[in-house]
Amino acid sequence: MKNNYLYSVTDKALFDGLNQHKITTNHTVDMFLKRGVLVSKNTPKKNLAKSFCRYHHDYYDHQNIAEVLGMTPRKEKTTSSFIKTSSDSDDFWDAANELKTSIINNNDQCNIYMDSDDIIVDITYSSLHYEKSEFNQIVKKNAKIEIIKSEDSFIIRRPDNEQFEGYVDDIISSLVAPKSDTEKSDINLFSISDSKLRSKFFIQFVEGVQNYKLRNVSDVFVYNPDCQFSAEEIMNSDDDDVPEIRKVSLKGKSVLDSQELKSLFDRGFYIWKIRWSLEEDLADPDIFEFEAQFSDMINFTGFSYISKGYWKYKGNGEYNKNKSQLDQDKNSHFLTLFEKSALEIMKSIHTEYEGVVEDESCEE
Amino acid sequence: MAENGPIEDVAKKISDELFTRFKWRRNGPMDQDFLCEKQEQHKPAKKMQIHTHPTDVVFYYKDPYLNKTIYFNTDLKSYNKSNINRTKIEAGLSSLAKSIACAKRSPDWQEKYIIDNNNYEIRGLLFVYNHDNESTKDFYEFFYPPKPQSGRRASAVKVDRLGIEKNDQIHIIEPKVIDYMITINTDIEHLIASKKFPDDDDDYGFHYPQLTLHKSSEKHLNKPATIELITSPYLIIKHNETITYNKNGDEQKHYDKGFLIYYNREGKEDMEFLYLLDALSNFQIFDGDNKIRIRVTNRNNVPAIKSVFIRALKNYANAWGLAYDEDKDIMKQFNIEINSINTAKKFVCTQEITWD
Repeated sequence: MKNNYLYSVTDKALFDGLNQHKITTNHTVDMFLKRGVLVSKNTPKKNLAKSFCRYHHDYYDHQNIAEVLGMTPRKEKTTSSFIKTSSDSDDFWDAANELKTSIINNNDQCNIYMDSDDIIVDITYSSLHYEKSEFNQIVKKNAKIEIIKSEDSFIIRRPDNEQFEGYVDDIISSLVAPKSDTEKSDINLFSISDSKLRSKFFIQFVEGVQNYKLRNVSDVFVYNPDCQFSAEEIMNSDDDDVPEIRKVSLKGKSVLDSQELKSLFDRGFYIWKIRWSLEEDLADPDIFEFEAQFSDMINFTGFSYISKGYWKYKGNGEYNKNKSQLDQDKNSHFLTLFEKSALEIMKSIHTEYEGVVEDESCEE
Repeated sequence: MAENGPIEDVAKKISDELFTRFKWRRNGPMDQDFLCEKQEQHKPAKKMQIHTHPTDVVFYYKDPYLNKTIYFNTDLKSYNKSNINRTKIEAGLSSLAKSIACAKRSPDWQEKYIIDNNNYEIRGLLFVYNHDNESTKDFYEFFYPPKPQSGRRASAVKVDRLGIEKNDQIHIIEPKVIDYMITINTDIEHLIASKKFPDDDDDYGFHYPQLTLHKSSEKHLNKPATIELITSPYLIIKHNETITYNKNGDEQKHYDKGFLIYYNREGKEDMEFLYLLDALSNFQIFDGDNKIRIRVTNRNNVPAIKSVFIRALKNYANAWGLAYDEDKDIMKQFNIEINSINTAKKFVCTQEITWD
C-alpha cells in the first residue's frame, strides 16, 4: 500500500472491540436500537457482541466504537484566520489547487471541493502502529482547511498545528492579489499584558455564546507571567525544583466562581485555557462541552477551540452517560459562533485597554 | 368461505408485496391466540379467564450465518399522526416480549408454526406501518425523543421496563424500513423490466461473505435477506446473467452477472465510501472483474454523491497503488457504478390495526 489508510475491520475485530470493558451494555443496547432491535440488558455482553458483529457495519459504526475505546486519534483544536484581500473565491480556488499539487507530490492525498460557497481542502495522511490491536493499527489523520467567504473578508479554519499553518500561508502567498492588498489577522491579545483583561477575554467568551447558556466551567488553567524565568525556559521547563508556581490548573464545578481562582487572579495569574459546557436556551437542552486556549500562553497568541462532545438528552430528565461527537454541521455552527464572539470580545478588550493606557498617561 | 379479518388481509399483503423479494416465508395460521405458559407472571391481576398471547402471523427464513431457522412471532400494528404515543408502544412491545417468552415454551405454538424442529430461534417482530401515510416519525425518537421547538421533550419508552428475557430479541420494522424495502422491490422490478436483472427468483440471492467468526453454510445462490441484513447500512445481492431466449430458442445475454448493492446511508463523506470499498474488497467482491452496481436508497443522500464516491474511489486506488487513467471514467475502469434511486411509493395500506 502506497499510503497507509484506515481500513475496514473484520467481524472478529468488531466482536473483540465490543467485548472490551469500555463498551458498556448500554452502548451495545443502543447500537441494537439504532438497527430497530430491542434486546435484554440481561443478555451476556459476549452474546450481544457476537450477534451484532453479524451485521454489516459502516464507517460511522467503526468511528463510534473506536471513539468509545479511545482509539481515534486525538482531534486537534481548530484555529481561524481572517483574511482581508482584493482576491475573490476563484483566486482562493486556484491557490488551493497549487497547494494540492505540492501535497500530492509529497505522496499525501488532497482533494478540493466546494461545499455551498465554501472551499474545502481535504488532506489525508496516516500513520501505522502494528503493535496495537486491529481496531487501532492505522491512525487516520484527515484534516480540512475551510475557506469561508464572510461579509467583508475570508475566514480560513484549520487544525492548530505547524504543518497546516504552513499550508494556509502557502495558499495566501499564492493568491494573485498583490501582497499589500492582503491582510491576515487572527484572535490574539499579544499587545495586552494586563492579566485581568486576558482573563476577562475567557470569562466573556464562555458566557457570551448566542442562544446558549453557560452551564459549567469545569477546568481553568492559569499562568503567572510575573516570574523571573524567560519565556523559553517556561515553555520548555519541566523541572520540579523551580521554586515559583507559574502554572496552576483547577478542576471542579463552577471553577470561575471559586475563591481559589479569585486569589490566583489577585496574585497576577490569568486564564490561558478553559473547559466549559453550554446548554441550549430551551427546555430539556442537550449539553455541549468545549475547550479553548491560547497555545502560546505567554504571548497570548494561537487561539484555538475544540468540541469535547455533547450529552444527549435522553428523556425523563436523564442524559446519556456517554458523550456523543458533534456532527460536521453542528461543529461548524459552533465554530461560526465562536469566531464571531471572539472577534467582538477581542475588539472590546482592545478598546478597554486603550482607555486604560490613555487614563494612565493622563495621570502621568 | 369465511371472510378474512383485517389482520389476515394485511399479513397477506405484507407477505406478497414486501417479503417475497427478500425470500421470507409465511407459515401457519394467522390471527391466533395461544396459551400463556407463565400465567402467574403474565396474567393481569383482575383477569378471570385463562391468559393467552396473540400471534398475528409468523414469518420465517433460514439464516445462512447461524445455520438455523428464525421464526418471527409478528405483531401487526398501524398508526397515524395522532394515535401513537409512548404508552401504546411500550404496552405493544411489552406484550410481544411476553409472547415470545411463552412461544418458546409453548407446544401449541410450536406445533402450529415450527417446520424445522432441530435448529431454530423464535424472535418477536413488531411490524408497524403508517395507514395515513402522513407521519414521518422515526421510531428511534420514541426511545430518544428529539428536542421540540418549545416546551419539554416527550417521555421516552424505557427498554428496561419491557421485560424482554435474556437472549431474546424483538425487531421493529417501521415505516422507514418498509419504505426502504419497497424501494428495493420497485427498483428490482424496473431493472428486470429493462433486462438488467434476472427475472427468475433462483437467479439471485442475498450475499453473505465468509467472515472470520461467521461462515455462510449455504452454497446455493438463493439465500434470503436476514433482518440483520435489511437493517444494516447496506445489503449485497448476488445475481446471475440476464438471459432471454428468442422464438428459435437462441440465447440472448443482456446483462452480466455481478453484485447489486443497496446502500442506505447518506454518502456525506469520502471516508464513508472508502470504508465501503475496503469492506467490499475484503469480501472479495470489489476486484475490478466483478460487475458492481451501488444503488443509493437513502432519501437524505447528498446531491453530489457521485462526486463524493469518485473522490473516495480515487483515494482508494491511490492508496493501494491501483493504476487508472485520469482522463477516462474511473468507475468504468474499476467496473463499479453508483446511482441514487428515488424512494419508491409508500406501503399503501389503509387498513387500520389498533394498538388496543
